[in-house]
Amino acid sequence: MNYGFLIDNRRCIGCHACSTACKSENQVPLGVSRTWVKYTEVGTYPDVKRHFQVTRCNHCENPPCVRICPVSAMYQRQDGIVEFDANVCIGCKACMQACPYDAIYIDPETKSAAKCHFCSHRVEIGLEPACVIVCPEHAIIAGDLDDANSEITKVLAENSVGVRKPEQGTRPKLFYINGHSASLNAANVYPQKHSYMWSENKNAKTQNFWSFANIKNKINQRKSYSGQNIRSPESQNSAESYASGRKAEQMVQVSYSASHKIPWHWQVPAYLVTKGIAAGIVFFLICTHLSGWVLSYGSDLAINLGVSLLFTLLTTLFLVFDLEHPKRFLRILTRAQMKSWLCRGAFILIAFTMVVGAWSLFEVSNVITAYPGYVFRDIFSWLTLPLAIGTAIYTAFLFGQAEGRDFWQSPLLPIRFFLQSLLLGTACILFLNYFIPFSVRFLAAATEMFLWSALFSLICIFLTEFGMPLSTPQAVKASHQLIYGDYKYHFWLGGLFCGHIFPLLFFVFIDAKANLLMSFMGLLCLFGIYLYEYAFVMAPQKILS
Amino acid sequence: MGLNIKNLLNEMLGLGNLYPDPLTKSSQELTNAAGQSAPQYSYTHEKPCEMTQVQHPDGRMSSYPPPERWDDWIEYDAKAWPQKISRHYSLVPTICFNCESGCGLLAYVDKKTFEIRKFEGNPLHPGSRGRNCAKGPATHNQIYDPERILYPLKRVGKRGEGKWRRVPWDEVLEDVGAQMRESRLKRKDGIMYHVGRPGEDHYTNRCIQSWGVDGHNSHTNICSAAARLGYSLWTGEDRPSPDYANANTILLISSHLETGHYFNPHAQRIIEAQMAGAKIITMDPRLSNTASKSDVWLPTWPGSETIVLLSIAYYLIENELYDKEFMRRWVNWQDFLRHFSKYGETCENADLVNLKAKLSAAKEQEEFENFHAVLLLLYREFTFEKAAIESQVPIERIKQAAQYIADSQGRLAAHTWRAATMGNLGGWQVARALFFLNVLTGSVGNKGGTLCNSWNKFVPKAFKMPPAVDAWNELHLPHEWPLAHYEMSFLLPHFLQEGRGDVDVYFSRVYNPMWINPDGFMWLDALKDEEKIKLHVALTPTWNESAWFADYVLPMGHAGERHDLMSQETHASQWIGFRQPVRRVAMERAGKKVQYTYEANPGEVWEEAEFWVELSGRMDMDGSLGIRKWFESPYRPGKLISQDEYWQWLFENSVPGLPEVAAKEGLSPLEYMRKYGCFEISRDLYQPFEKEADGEGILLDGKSLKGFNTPSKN
Repeated sequence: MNYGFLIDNRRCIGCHACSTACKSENQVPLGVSRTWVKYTEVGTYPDVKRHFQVTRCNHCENPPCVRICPVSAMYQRQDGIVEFDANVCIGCKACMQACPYDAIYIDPETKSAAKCHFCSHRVEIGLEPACVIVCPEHAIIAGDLDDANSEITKVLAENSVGVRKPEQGTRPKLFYINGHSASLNAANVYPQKHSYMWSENKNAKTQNFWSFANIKNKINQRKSYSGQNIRSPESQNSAESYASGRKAEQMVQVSYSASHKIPWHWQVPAYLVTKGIAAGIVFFLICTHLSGWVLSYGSDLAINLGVSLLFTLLTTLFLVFDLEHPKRFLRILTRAQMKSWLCRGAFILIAFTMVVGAWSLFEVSNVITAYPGYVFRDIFSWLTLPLAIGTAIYTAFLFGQAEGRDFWQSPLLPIRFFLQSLLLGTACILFLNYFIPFSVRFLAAATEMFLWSALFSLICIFLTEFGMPLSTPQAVKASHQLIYGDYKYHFWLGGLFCGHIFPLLFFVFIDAKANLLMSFMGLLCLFGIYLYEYAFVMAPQKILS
Repeated sequence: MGLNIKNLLNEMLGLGNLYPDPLTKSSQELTNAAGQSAPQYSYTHEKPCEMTQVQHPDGRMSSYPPPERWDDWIEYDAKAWPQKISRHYSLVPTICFNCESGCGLLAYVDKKTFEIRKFEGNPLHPGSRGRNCAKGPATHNQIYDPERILYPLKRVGKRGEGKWRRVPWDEVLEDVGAQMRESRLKRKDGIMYHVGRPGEDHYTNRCIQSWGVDGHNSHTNICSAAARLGYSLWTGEDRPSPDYANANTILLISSHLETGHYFNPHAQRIIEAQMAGAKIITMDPRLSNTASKSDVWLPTWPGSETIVLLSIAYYLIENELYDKEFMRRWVNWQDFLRHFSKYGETCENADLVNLKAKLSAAKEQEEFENFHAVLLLLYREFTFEKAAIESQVPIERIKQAAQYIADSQGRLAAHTWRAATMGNLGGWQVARALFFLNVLTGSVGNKGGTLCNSWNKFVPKAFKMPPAVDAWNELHLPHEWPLAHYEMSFLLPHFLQEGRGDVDVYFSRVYNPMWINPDGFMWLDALKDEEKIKLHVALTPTWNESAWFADYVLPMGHAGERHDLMSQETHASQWIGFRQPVRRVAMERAGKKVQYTYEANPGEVWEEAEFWVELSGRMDMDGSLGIRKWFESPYRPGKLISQDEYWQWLFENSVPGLPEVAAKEGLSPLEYMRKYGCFEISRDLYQPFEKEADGEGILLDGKSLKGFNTPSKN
């Protein structure tokens, strides 16, 4: 048994009967859709056509939403249907990031993730899904792909079919006859409009983020050897398959679609910052101790371990309260699905917290009893080291599981998170210097570490954002949003200038002492990094799939 | 109550049973809550029957529960899924009322609460074949619309003040009935029934006829009147029935694939034909979905449709690509030549002058080739070039369309209805020019051609028919418009303002005149004027602008809340579809007694069919007006007819074949229709005009044939 859909665009007349029948069958609330008909218009009057595409869960053979779900609320049945259980879901919205097809939404009534489930409650008693039986044109075929005799298998064999975004490796089981590339992948289409025929685009903010590139092209105007003005090639992968500008206006436009709300907001970048601080402080402490760089005073250690614990707690709070079902957060542990980096991360965070907690208790008792137990410090250091690194970088792998956000899937991300964690940790120490009297040598070491990590972090960001070309149009569009579009101030002013360049220059040229200015520089860096992470988290979520 | 630690722990850790108890979530009581709270469905311990044993040979699953299980159907609740909660339904067929197609619906009615869970298609319906457009399943939204009107309302303050009092149906019948009686005693043009979408065939017309008044007003003159005229002039039938499924070429004026009469049944057959190789040509100034699905889209400048059609006609004539034999047999060209020889306009064209002179000889008037010669000269001004300029369509597209039409091999299914015909002065010529192409290609009434509606529609006769009305309402069809095709309904407020008359009792139904007519403020004045419209009764399930200015707002049911019988010319066959109050039917199946449909519907929502009977009874309590007898049961003398009796008589006596088919299943005709909701009377009805006449007919090539309902018939 291996259920799949085949949608025949030759037959589809764009009537939305399937959307309505699905709503009725599954009692889907207002404002969210399990299946909808996307309209894409291609051409210029009078040579123009509207293309319809019934859009929904692809019931992937290799579903990324299932892999990322920490509690198996999203799961794949033996018969190939990708199913969900609202009673199990904790509302972390990771599945929405993992889906390259924007098929999942949070149900406003249950607060759980939901999507097309192939009407499995009907299929299980031998009835076709509601959308199939309502369709006036028999444009939707549902059936068993393993059965050589089934209608779907036969029609599949006889026609040339396409799937949406095969490059994501999801192996979709929703096949389209006459799928139009502009409909199959929204990233092919420019521009993304504010509002459609009868619906708003909840995510897009129209902005011509190509203008910078256009200016660049003009400046770079070159002549060929023979004297012809020639076009400079655009940056790699940057053009949509259907670009504007060269062709007539509105050559290709999405005129109707149903987009789902952006899943993650400020809580996630905030969590990235607090988690980075927690791990960075501890990593710095371990470095100073193990290398003998600074002979740490017990109080420095105890205080900083305490600060790290505080930020770990904050991290947990951000994580829990970003859940749609905050009460259910413990299910990450009790119903853990260990392929999910959300689970793995949770276990790393817990181990990290426990070890750091024990260590800080030990250091506090040291301070009270004035007994420097160096051997125990070594043990704690070695024990904590991998956990601190893990805490700093595991989110990179979680982002890597987000198959719907190609921009996040950067191989350099673990390194960037690691360097950034050091930067955040030391920035936090610098910030605290005005309030807590650290030893001079400790502060000096922190300043030095801050400088180096800022420098390497900066290099890493440049390598990530400007180095290798990105592989998919989605990633490229997100990158443009970040660098030239909606988030350019977050990126340039926040991330680069406040987060790195200004503090770097300040400490290089000004001999900083423990003072308010140093505190301010630390805070400026933390704030800058938050803005950058905010942009990094938001930009790809705004790109329509 | 209080904090349940165990539940809280379970919620947090998710280790125990996470599913709610199905019994606490559902009602086990009869409910009637539509519009007041969300519907509740009952829980059953029984398991659904698995349909795997009736799988199709090609491995497809079943589309619908088999009819033999319709009264006893168990399904899993979709919302609770993957928790397996069984619900027990009675499936009651009805027909949709969200356009005039009358597609089949199947209501899932909870066996205990009698709430409707959903509407699916009725697989047995010949027109819709189990499938629906978005409006079909959306019937559920209408029934549970929190803003629908659930009880009869009577105006309290001034008209339009917005103050209402809930009144019992009895009071409504008493008051309105008395005012109708008073009016009828004075005159035969004091009661007006103004309808937009009838949603039924002839039931209400019969009622009005029974009242002995000229009281039917429509919206047709702002809708299809012009197209009807164009078609009538050709065949005497005012509506086309294109046989899309078998066509080679489909020619649509406006977006018939998405908004036409009859959307879903036609859309199925149009695409079916296209998949089989038919070409679709669409004239539509907008990029509609239909335009997008067409092989040739002609975005004609509004009003230029006729010249494009005539240029195609000229192309067929000039290249002799038309069906001469059909033309020779079925076009009255001899009459035309006789007429032309005397009165023909020659525009001082030398060729035409010569031809006219030649035709003065009677012998020449019998030569078909002369007809061809005249056509050639008359239509030669309509060139592709001229059409392309006027319509602003690329000439290649017009030529391509002409080619596809020439290639249709007598299978041209064409349709125009409202857009171009009603939107332009002289729009009736669009329909006339369009049907000309059907005639030229010989695509009239044949397989794949365009048929007439009356051949594909069947309206059974009721038990007793009142005589035709001997009255004329000048507010409908004033004498200065003797050629008006349908009532001049949009001028009603102007007539009232001019003092041409007044209305004693004005019923508006599925009609919001303030909104739909071009001059809403005129209607506002008229509806507010209690001298001109003395009593306004709005029959509507939901509020609308015009109902706000009514004296009574009476809630009438949606698709699953009423009795109606419909037949539509969706394809080359005849069927009837039975609209039913599904809750009532399910209750009666369960052995509950229901006297009036409003007892079963949400709140006190009623249905017109029953309302008219009761109202007419009140209008003529003692039978002295001669009205009551038309509403008395043929089975219970002296008593008003019930819906069961009305339809029982009709199905037993007026629907050929139905009693026999029902008997085979051991059912009475009424039981059969209540169970299946539809019946196909005949199919593949092509070219009835070629059949031998049994009475009135036309003499052709020595044979007496049925012919068309035109003046040529004798």
